[in-house]
Parts: sequence; structure tokens; C-alpha cells
Amino acid sequence: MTLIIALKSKDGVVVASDSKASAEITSNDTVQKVFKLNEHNAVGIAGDGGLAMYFLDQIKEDLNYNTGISNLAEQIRIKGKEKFNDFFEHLIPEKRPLLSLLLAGYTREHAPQPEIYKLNSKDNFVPRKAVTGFECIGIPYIADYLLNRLYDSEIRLGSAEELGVLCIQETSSQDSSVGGPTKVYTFSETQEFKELTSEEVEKLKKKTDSVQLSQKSKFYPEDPESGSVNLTSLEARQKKVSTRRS
Amino acid sequence: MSKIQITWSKLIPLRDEDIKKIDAIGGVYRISKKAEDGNFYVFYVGSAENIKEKLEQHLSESETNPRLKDLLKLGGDFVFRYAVVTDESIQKAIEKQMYNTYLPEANLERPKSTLEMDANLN
Repeated sequence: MTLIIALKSKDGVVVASDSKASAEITSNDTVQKVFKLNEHNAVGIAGDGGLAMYFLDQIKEDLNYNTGISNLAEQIRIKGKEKFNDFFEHLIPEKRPLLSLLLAGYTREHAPQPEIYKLNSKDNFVPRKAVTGFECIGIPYIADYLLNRLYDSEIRLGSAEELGVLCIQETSSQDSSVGGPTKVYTFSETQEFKELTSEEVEKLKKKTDSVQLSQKSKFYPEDPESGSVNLTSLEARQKKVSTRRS
Repeated sequence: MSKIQITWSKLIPLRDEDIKKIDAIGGVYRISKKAEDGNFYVFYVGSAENIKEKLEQHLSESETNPRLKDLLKLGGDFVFRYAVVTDESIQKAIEKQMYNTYLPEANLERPKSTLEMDANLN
């Protein structure tokens, strides 16, 4: 089984996954589940491992990555439906093998924004855009609970990496079908896709070991560089508070 | 949800001599402690019609919040930052927003406010 998580932060996207693949009586802890599509888009795949690899090989070549993430999601929907109909025309959709995709990337606006989409073979890969700043596929229950408790849109990239690792660790501690080395990938509209080294992931794990769930503030350290010099009453009177009703 | 832009101070040491330098103004504030990793983590958020007076109270024997009192008594490197907000209902709304973001361990309860505010927290 699998757990793949995508998180939006103020300064980039984090995609984290476990590495376990389970068969009936055997398992393997070396499976890659997240793939770079280009420097600012990535996809994670859960489901039939061999089918997932072949499926990705088949559709990757035809995708145009320069049109933004929402268009990329639509391309994958069209290609995915076409390929699955081709592979499994003898089966009704409900009987077909399950592939879940988690797609993360940036829009093509003047100020690119990160977006996350979930796509699923059981409903012809119709893209579902994340309405919160995160999404999970595979065994999502514990991660969903933790992210609903701890995620906030104010989170920065380093803390989002920790939160992703925490979710994988906590799930793995409760569900033995999720496990193996935790993999963490990050990218932003300006920073290229990269995988954290195993040493970097180990440091994150050590930090999350001491996290007490009631202390959400541990993920939001104060930024010593932000803020104005001490506000005097004169400065305070001169500062205008602007309010916009949304 | 209402969007609001406020100006935060830099981090200021939570000491009597530093608190004395700020004016008796209303607004929102939060208190952090330095951890082993060198970062400051928020453990208390508040709002007041007079932030200076409130902070002085936190450091005094007359502080009534036992959790806050115990954490401050443990000692350490404490800092605070504040923002001027004159409207009391907006103060409460931002305090609630900070509470939801930080889940600070020293606050005894979620601040009560019917307003939903989206203020910059940095």
C-alpha cells in the first residue's frame, strides 16, 4: 500500500511518500512513488505498481508541461481515460485496477500559484482540485486527520517538510502496509524540483519525534527578520490599518 | 472573512525594561520562547486595550493564568511581538486567528469572537 501527501506552503510545494510495496505475502521497501514531470510539476501514483509505471511511461511523452497545472490535469484526464479504455476495454470501470494520481504544480498566471489535484482511474481520471492546501492518496486517514489539525496556509517550506514527514511516520507507526524510507520532494515556481537526501530526511524525522501534537506552534517558528522596529505611539498613529471586506 | 493588514513589531525581549519602552496602546501580541534549535516558538497569544499593562501583568505575581505563569517561571529566553489594533472586536478576532494558527500551549481557552479575520501574522 501507499501514502503520498502533497502540501502547499508559502514558498513552495512539498510532496512526500513512503516506499513500501506489498504483495500477498511479500513486501519491498524500495519503491519510488513520486515522479518529476518537469522542474515545477510532480505526480505521485498509488495502486498497482507495475501498471502505474507502464501507464506513466505511456502518457508522459505526450504531455505539454508548459501550459500550467490545471491544463496538465486536464491532459492527464484525457490521456488517462484513453489509455485505460484501451488497456481495459473488456472491463467495466468498477472492475478495472485502481490507479490514484496526486498531481502538484504551478499555474501559468503572472504570479504562478501552486495547485494540487487528485485523479482516479475509477472515475475516468476526472481531476479534483484540493480545496484545502493539502491532499493525500493511498492510506490517507491518519494523514488527513493530522493535516486537518495542524496544517495552516501560513506554513513555510521547511515546516511543511516536517509536517509531511510527521504524517508518513505517524501512518507508518499505525499501519504496517505503509513504510520503508520516507521520500520528500520540494519545488516552487522558482526553485527546481529536488529530492531531499536521506540525511536531510533523518534530521526531519528526529525533529518530528519530539513533536507533541497539541503544540501546533512548533511548526510556525517566529521569523526574527520580520516586523518593524519598535512602534512608538507616534508611528502607531501614523500607521493606517486598511480593511477590505472580501 | 475580512482581510486586514497590520504592522507587527520586531521580536522584543520579554523583560520589564523592554516592556517599559512601548506605549500604552491597544492591540494584539504573542509571546515565544527560544528552543534548543535556536528558533522562537509561540506559546501564548493575547489582545489588550493596553498591551504594555497586560505584559507587565504577565510577568508579575498577580498573573492569573497558571499555565502561563508556570511556563514563564521555568525561565528561558522569552520574546514578544505586537501590532497596534484599536478596535476591540478586531483585536479579539485576530487573537482567535493567532490561536487557530499556533494552538499555543499557555492559552487556557480559544478566544471568543464571532468575527472571522484574515490578518497577516508576520
